[in-house]
Amino acid sequence: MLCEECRERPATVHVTQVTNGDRSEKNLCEVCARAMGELDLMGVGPGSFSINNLLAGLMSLEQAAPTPKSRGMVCPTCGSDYRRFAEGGRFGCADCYQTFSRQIAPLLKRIHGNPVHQGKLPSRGAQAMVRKRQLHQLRDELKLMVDQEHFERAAELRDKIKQLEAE
Amino acid sequence: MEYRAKWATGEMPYGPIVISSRVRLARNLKDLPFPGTMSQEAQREVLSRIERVLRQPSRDNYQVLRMAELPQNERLALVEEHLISYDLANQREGAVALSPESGLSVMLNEEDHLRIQCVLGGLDLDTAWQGASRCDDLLESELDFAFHEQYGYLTACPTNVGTGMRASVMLHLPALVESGQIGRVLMAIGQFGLMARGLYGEGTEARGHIFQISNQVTSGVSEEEVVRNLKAVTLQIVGQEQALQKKMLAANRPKIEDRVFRALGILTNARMLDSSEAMTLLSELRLGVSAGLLSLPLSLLSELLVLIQPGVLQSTHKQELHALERDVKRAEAVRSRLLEALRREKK
Repeated sequence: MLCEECRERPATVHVTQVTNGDRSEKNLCEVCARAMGELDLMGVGPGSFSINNLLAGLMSLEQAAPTPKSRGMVCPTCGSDYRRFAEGGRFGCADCYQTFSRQIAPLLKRIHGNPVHQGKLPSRGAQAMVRKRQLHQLRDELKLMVDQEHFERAAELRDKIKQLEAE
Repeated sequence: MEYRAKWATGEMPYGPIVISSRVRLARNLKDLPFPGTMSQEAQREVLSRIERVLRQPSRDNYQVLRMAELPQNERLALVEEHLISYDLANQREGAVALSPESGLSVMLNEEDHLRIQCVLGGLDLDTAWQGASRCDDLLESELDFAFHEQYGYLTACPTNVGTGMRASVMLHLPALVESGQIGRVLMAIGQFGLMARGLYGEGTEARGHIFQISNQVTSGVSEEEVVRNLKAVTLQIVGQEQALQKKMLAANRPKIEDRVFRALGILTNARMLDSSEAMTLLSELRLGVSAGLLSLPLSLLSELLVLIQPGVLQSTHKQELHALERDVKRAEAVRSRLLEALRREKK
């Protein structure tokens, strides 16, 4: 079926409109539908429901009670202010996470539940994290070994932990 | 045409039902603002720094394509091959580094400086994760990424923070759709931290019965956990789809056979096919293969899914085509590929 508007492209958008009980149907191609604003109804165009808008909603929620401090705060690295995120749902640079940490922490919690990184670590610049994770693992294992009365292995682990802590 | 989309070739574990598996990692350089707030000059700086690393000889042998140097058809074709996003195609200072052999494509200056993705055929999330992680290691050996002790990798959008990983599978679920059970499945996966969307179209009206399922959160879980979880849920869905296909076939075999072979009849004879009709008929064909009514290579089914797209058609013919010309070329391409495959199956 061809688009009823341009009669060139295939109709891929079917619009049913009901106004005061009168029903009308149109078969349009994507280009014409967009031009006529019909695609917006389907959640494709700007101003429709999307992750961005949803995020923006969450962000303005955080902003609903702005502290005097956050109001005029601007990220020193990229020059973005909090309004920018509240509207676009995107941060300007990595430092924004620091600049707006007070607003971002509750937001990340709402999105991810538990915003503590458990995944891959960069091989550079994350030595402290790597050590923290190693210690955590060793302590878990130590507890298990003590519970199972493998005292020899437990002693080894205890020494390892001491050594790592001293580094 | 030269095949850049690895996912449409080769082995396909859990075949006709799982079309492809994808793992994407978002990364940003430490000392530059995100692409959305960057000057063009800074964006070029990102390109040159990253390209320098990727152009070095490596196991994956990357080839870099800059968006500004590609005609629109070519960019659209890359989108349709699932190698880049629609947003990148429209990004002046965007680029993609491709390693067709390993299914890797690295988007530069999309929403984040780097979007590393690996797309493979069938259910193969482990290999896709290993591929993406290997590329991440290579880049990381020379570049410093934005990373936060508590939050993990930092991204422009807070929904990607942490691992920066989105793992997804593309599934063909005709029996679940037709039995009306798809809504229940899509609701249920939400409880496993996953989300679903129709791939070509919206909601449960997905064209071609194709759905994409992916992880929702990127923080508080490791990459391996996400992959394991998505794999387990995918296998459950595949099992349900298979059982329902069997049931459909047992209840009304002639009707299903009729549908499948009518689709084959049209696809091997039609002189014009619009993309919507082609998608619908290819879905019937895939159902036929899945239910064991028809024997065709799985790679052909996926290749055809790519071949029928407007950008790919135009880039194959190296010219812009009207909608009507495209319908003719589409029918030609599908017909010749299918007839050739059927001849081979007979032998």
